[in-house]
Amino acid sequence: MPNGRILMAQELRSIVDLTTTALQADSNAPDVVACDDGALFLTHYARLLRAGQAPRLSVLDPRVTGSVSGAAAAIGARSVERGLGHPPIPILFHTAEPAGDDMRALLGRVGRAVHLQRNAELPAEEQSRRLAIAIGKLLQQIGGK
Amino acid sequence: MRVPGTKYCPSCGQDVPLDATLEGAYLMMSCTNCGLGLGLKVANSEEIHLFQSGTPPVAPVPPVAAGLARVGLQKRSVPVVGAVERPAPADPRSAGAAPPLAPEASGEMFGSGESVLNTQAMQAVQVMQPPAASGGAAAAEPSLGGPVRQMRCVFLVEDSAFLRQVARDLLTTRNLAKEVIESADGPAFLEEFTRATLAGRKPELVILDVRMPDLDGREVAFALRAIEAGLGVKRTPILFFSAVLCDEPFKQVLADLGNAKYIRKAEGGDVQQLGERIVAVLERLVGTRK
Repeated sequence: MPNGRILMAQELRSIVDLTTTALQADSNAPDVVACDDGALFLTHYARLLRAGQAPRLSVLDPRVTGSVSGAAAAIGARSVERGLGHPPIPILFHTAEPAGDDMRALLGRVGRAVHLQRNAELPAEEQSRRLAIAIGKLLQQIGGK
Repeated sequence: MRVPGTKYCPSCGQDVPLDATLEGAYLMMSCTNCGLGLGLKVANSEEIHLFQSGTPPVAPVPPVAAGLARVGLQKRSVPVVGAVERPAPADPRSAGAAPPLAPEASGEMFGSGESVLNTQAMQAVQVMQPPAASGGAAAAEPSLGGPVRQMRCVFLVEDSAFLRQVARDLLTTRNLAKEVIESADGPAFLEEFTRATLAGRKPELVILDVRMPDLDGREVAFALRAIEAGLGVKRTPILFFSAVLCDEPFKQVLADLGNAKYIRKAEGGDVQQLGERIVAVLERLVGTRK
């Protein structure tokens, strides 16, 4: 039985794929729905929430390119939740940069969110392994199914 | 009409002549150099005063006057002219019918009470459309053009309370919309849109400012399209209403969004006709629907 669903918005496809692989080492690996831009993330988010299949965790790169940035997608996701009367779903912001003022403001703005800086100098496999560990810990903290 | 004397324009950063017009219950001022506008709505005639320049400000300064001061205009202590003490009823269609401002006065003007500061350009309105149809789903959606009819519900997203009030009044007094739902920012709009759509009250038009805090109007529009796709509903017509130039990138935005138009509060237009022009564009938008 998969440990819920994770919705990821990350334009580095290798990170998504390797993270998914790393997560699947766990027998309770969550399903991963990957999007390469914020608009697609928001579309999936609204669709899943409306269908009663809300993800347990969102993993977003706030600087993901496209018509809707990752940061805007996170803010939009909160709007969708409120519009549907759904409690806020935890968000993990995954960036290559340390948390600056913008990130702190975003964390405060969306609420129930954490930031994880990835070491871009590490091989993608190692970055993804560390992200998978962080996701696993977060899912444990979130609890539930 | 041109008000003698000069006033500080926060956009130009210098003293420039100001044009002022009383349109129904709305007092419109605009910089003759850059078009930056200041609009005030007055609840009653006593709330409009015309002041001589050069008189020191009154203390304490009320909130509205404090807002004026932030953009370089100040409340003055000595009312001079009574010519605008009885403006026309609050009907935007009566533009130009109100008594003119006295030409001998130099125009430090402000409202009080419910008056709200607006520092956006409020001049000529021109409509720009995307260069080409955005294809796909838009073709099956309500298009823009045709006989005028009343819309059931319009969402108005604008951070300026004054512009929201103007637009709402125009929409309702012209019977263009039965219901106008206002939002002061993008996230609040997206929330209300989601709620209303699921309740079967999806709006027939979204009027969207471009420059807004938190989320830019363009981001809000694309987020709206994403949410519409997620909820499985048709794309809602969007009318951008902003002083931002509709350059080539913005035209591409309109094309990418589909079913979107743009009204620019352009420079060099006739402030007195602002209300009528806004209505004309909105009627054109409504009219495009079957």
